[in-house]
Amino acid sequence: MYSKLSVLIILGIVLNSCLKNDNINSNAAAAADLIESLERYSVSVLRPNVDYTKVSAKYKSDASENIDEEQFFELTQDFLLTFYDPHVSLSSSFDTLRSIDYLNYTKNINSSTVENGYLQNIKQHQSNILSATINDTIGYLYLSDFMGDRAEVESILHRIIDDFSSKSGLIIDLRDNNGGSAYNAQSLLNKLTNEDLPWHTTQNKTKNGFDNVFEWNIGPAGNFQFTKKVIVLTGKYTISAGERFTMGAKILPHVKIIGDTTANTQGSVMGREMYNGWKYTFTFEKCLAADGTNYEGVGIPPDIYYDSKTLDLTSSDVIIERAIVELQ
Amino acid sequence: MIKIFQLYSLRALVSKLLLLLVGFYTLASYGQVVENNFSFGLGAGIDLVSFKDVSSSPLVYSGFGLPLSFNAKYNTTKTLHQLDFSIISPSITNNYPLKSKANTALISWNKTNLNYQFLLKINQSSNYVGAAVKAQYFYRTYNFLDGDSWDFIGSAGIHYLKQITITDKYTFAPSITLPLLAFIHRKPSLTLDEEFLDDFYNRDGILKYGKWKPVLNDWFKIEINISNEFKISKRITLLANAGAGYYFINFPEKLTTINYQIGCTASYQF
Repeated sequence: MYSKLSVLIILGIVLNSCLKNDNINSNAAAAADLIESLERYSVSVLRPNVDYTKVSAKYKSDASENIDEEQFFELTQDFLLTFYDPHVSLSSSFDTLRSIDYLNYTKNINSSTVENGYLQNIKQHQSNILSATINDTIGYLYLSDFMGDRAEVESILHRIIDDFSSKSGLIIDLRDNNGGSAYNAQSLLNKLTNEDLPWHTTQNKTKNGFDNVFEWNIGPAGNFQFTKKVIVLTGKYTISAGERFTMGAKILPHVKIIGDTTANTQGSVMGREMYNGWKYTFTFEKCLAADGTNYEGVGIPPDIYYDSKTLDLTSSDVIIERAIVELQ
Repeated sequence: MIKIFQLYSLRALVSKLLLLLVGFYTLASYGQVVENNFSFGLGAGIDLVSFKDVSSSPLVYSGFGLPLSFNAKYNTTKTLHQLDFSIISPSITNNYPLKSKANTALISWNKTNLNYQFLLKINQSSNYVGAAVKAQYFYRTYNFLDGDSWDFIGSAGIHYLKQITITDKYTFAPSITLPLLAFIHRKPSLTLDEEFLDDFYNRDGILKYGKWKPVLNDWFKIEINISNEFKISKRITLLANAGAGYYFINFPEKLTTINYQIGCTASYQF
């Protein structure tokens, strides 16, 4: 019996050696793994303005064992910021990086100005969805993001659009839409079209390139579709699924986009860990518009452009006012 | 469901289990014993788990869980049928997190095993050999975005068991399982990508992403177990077991898992 037990113990020791928890205290190893992982999984490194070979080589050479963890965090932050990807983030126990805070973006919405100056009959359907009327003929829908249970969000959005059936125009305000599920964006687009249309395509980054193209389409949902005039408001803080919605708005002839160019990252986001336990996020999907345009790194331009940096939104909202004019 | 191990400390739990076993033994000692070859048992144990799933993290996560188990056994002079089920779940026991040496921890994890072995006795010896059909599901949630990961291995293979009788009351049985073919389900991509989610929402995609693979084609698994049976009455057997398992799956990225488990089962023979 003891010989059998000893076999089991020896086997255990051998098996344990198969799983080594190595390099957790090495800056160089953490940097090397981050470089390899981004190259393997991220589309951010493929942006035309990014020379990944050059920036990763510099990061690798600077990530010595002689720097402390605060210095290593700063170094890693500088490396990640070279992608200009709002999806990129880094968090440790002592510091957090949100790339969008470093992109010199300006918000082009002031919620209290909008609510106090332009909205009536406000209904908060859930924390991220608000509907209201601008006047007797114009409805208003605000989404702070596209998050939430798919069926629940779809039900809310479809009910709101149905309620606006008597209006002659609709404003969809996505100026600080923080993204979420593309399916929820699709649910809303499906209420704005009475025909089946290709929306966009996505592909995951793989070890040797990309996987198969996944085609997204939109098509009429429910008995009523809002095919009268629609204005979509966008800005630099319209991100991810908010941008994908904007891609859909671009292909609908009765929809016009007003505001600033969107953030610049439309693919889905992934999270991973570094060897030292820090967590980071990045974009892993290539997302192309129905006509093949790649807006990654540049954002989706509006039909009527307002430079966010020049706007004073403290007492009036020039973008909403322009939308009202366009709808009349 | 009541979280059994949250209500009791481990020591209190062990003492209560012992009391239960003694009660079980006392009750079972009376009454007429009928010769039968069907038995079932309930047990608990500890499972030490270490794994590294490169598709989610470069870090090794280790820790332990407290499995609850059920087994049934039917033996004749020539055959042995054995069914084992065990589950580690935070909805049943406490959520003991798997941790890395970089001070990160999984939010949650659970593991379920269902095994069936049909064994034939070889030439009236103490050796048994036969088929093993096994299903294992190991799910974990990391504490970062899209940090869900899982693997399901449904396998068929060969199982060898040697039953060594030490005394009338005590037997010792080492066994080894080598699966030959498996249905393996892993995340189709690095995170829950759109195509998978679309299939998931349309309820037709879960099986679509599984892969049938012969052993050594991107995966390997081995399990070794030693069990000690101690008959404490004509109907009651205490079974202590210790085992080790190792497997790797190479898609979409390499997953390596090692576990060691020890457990104790009280078995009642009908």
